[in-house]
Amino acid sequence: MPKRLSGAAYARPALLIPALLLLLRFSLILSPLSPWLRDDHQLASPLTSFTRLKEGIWFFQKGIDPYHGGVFRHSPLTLALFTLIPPIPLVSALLWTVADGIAAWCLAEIWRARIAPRGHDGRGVLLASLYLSKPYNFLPTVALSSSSLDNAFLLLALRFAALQQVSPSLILLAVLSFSSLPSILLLPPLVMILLAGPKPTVPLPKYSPKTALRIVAEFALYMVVLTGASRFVAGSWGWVLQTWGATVMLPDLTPNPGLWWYFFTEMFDQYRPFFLLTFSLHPLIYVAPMCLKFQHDPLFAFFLLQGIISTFKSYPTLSDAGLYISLLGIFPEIYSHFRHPLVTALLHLHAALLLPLFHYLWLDAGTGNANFFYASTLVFGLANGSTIVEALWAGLHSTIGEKEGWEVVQL
Amino acid sequence: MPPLPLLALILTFLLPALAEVGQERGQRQRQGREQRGEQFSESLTLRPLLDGKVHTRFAFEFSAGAESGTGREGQLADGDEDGDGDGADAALHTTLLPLSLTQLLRTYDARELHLSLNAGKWDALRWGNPSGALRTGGEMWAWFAGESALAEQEQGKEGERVNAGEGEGSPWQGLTNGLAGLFCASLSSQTVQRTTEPLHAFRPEGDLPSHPGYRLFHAAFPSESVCTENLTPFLKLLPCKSRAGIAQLLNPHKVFSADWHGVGVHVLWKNDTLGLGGRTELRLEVNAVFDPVRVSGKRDWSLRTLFDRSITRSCPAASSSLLKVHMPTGSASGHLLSPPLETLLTDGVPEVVYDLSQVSEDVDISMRWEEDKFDHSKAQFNPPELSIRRSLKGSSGPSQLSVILSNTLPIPRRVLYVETLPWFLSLYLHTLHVQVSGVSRDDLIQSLSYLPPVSPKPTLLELTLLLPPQSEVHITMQVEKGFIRYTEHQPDASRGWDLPAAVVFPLPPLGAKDSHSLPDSAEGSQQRIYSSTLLVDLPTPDFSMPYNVIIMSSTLVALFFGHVFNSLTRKFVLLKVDAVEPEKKAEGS
Repeated sequence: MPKRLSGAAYARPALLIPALLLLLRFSLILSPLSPWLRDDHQLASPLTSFTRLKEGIWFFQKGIDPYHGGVFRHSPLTLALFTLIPPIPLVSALLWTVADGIAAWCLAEIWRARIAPRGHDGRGVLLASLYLSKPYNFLPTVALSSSSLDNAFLLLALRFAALQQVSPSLILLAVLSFSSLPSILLLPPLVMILLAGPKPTVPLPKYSPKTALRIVAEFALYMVVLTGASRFVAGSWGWVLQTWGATVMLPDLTPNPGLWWYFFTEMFDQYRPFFLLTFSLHPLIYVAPMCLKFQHDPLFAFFLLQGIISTFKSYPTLSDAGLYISLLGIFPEIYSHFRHPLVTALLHLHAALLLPLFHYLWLDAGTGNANFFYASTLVFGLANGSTIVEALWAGLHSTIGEKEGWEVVQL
Repeated sequence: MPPLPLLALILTFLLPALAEVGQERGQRQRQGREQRGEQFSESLTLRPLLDGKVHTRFAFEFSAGAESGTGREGQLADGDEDGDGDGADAALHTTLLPLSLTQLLRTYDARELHLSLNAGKWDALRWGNPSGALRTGGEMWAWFAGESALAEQEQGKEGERVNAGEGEGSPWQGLTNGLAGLFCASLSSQTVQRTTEPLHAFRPEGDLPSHPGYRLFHAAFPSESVCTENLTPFLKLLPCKSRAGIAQLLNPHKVFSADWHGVGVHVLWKNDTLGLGGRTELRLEVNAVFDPVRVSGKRDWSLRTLFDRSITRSCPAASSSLLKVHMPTGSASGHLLSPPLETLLTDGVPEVVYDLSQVSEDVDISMRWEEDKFDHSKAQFNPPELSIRRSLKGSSGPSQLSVILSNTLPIPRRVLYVETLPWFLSLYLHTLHVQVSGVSRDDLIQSLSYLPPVSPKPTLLELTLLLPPQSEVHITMQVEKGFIRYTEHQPDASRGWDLPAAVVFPLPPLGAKDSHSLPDSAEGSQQRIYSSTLLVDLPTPDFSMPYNVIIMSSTLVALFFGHVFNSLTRKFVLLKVDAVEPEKKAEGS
């Protein structure tokens, strides 16, 4: 187990920045800005929208099955959580702020676990501050999109994995896969991190299949227990089709920054099942190759797969991309190996400017049409894709390392 | 070439004689029919309105008795399906009731049916709220009975409840298709998208036998219009077509240029007082609101000016043929009805009744006002006791649906408010708020039943409210506008979708009646108040893009896949850089 650094090791003035950022989002959630952003399609998808969550809670508290009809698509676990906490804005604001705080802290912790015991951990605070200040993470939190909570779950699961704490990590991933089904693909790299640790190891680590199997069995157990709990909360199996089913079948074609919605709005009806299958299975094919190629650094494989899921999931929000870009900060060693960093950065800038603009032009001003927003989601997809490709390339190169008088070539 | 003028001349002489013979025979037949329980009566009600317009309502009423003991109470003209021959034969023989319609009803076991097709906007402030369907567009609802409905209900309980009873081949679908064919209306194209099963609204207007298993289906077709092609098959159902009786006045050119016009078909089952048998009542209706002021600047009207036709002979099949004129009250200037007749008071309404069962010459009835010009500004309108206004606001994000119900009476009123929305509009019920003059009054909601939309079936919201005396109740809720597939859009997608009218049913005060008979069913035609229809603008995709989108999105995925697997399948090695011989390095790799 890596050595934990005490709080005294933080540079105290630097801690002010994350604290201020948290305070800012807390006050903004309580401000009128939050209701205004709440139904923005880029910040909250039908699976994560706070308005729909409130509708589901309303039904649940009236004793009506909230999963009848197509409005409520949050997981029963989320439903259970929110029926327990009092429905006042202050509590929601606190919950989302704390979740973001935990996510940022986890990011710093993961970084520390990766570099320990080398320890120049000023970067941890920097990573946390960047995570908290990035609009892709900041705005969904202000909009009370539950994707911010999903991010917190994912980072917390990763933190526990980095600290070799098997059960908390697996429980958190299981919980996460109830609100975001594609995240279940992160299980293989997570198991590898649990087995080999978060640091790159030069001789390939020995993965014991027996332990791996035990971990997977434990995860399966948690999934079964949580499924049972969900069935208990929801009272019927209707939630399966409305939450997990929606991820695969895409019944709600509300625009989002992802690639699915316009594709399936325009899809010919007879090809719909085929392309739904293709799009659903597409991220699956990357899991094994990534894990095999990055056996020496499972955290990097986790990062790449998280990027692929963020880019290709059916109901992404901006916070998915935000999380992926934030995770990039954990791997500073690859920066020098980027091939086209400028192009990628410009693509991101381009998308960040075009997405809100064209969304507004299409749906509010009525002066643009759907193609405008579709084009900007394509650019966004291209930007995310090229980031992954860049990171993959740089990650493969940085493994080899550099030596004076030697050059890395590919065979 | 046969001598046409000669033929015409002969016919001119012969026709009156033939008509007389026909009339005599008709009378004999009528007596025969009445013994067998079939009756036909017709009436035309003219109602001068406060703003100078004239509301005309044609009602053609059929009634057919059915004896009990056939084991199938309530069935239209008791279809004998046991196969003892004479029963079936008798049932299929109708002399007055239109066979095409009764056959449909019998096939699908429909006990009560209401179909109306209207065009125009009903102005409740100026025209009042008379009973009857005044919904803009098409509306249809039917109560189904018998084993088929029962069987489906049981099936539905076990298995899929979603589609039971309204899918392909169900009685409802069959009846809709049949009526669409009969009246040349495009009702059947969107039945599933339009059909709801209200729990509280649209109670039967007639009597239904007491055993369970009766199911109600309702559908509203807000964009369905009505035109000559609907009236022609309608007239064919009448025993005298449009050749005799008051149906002679139904001139499509005039009716369909009226401010409001529509046709309606209503079938009811009424029990006998003894409860042994009952009778089927069929009412065919044509409603039109004419505007004589538009033509002459005056309120004066006559049958000739309204319809450009007059009644030349009576329908021999009709047992009664009445023309009623409601006399205007509370108007300053005098009016003159000709031919003059004594004014009677029926249900508090002064009216003049003309009997048209023995018409020997052209009948024209006219009303003249003692004024040179009708002055709109002097007209005094009494706001209706109950009224509803509805609007939808907002562009992106959830829109706000606001409904204003106003009660002008000094007593509280209970009402049932029914909202049906297409599946792509979902209500956020947690945002449902009731306000009275700015003060939140959520306690006014007495009961709420809600059926969330399951694509492609519509949302149904039924809300029982208590309206305080002399108040305006504001109901607001947020509505999420969905995004639908490009194939689900209408051909004229940019025009928007018509939302069906909301309906308000006045309810008896709580405790006055058994709670089961929510809206008063015993009083015959229950009052309903319809809001206007709304047009909702849905964001549209580009309909020319399918190929482009498939190509571009797939290209992106393929590019990514290619790059990733290109990198993943490569092997990187360190190679000693030989500064002297770069060519060799190239060879080495």
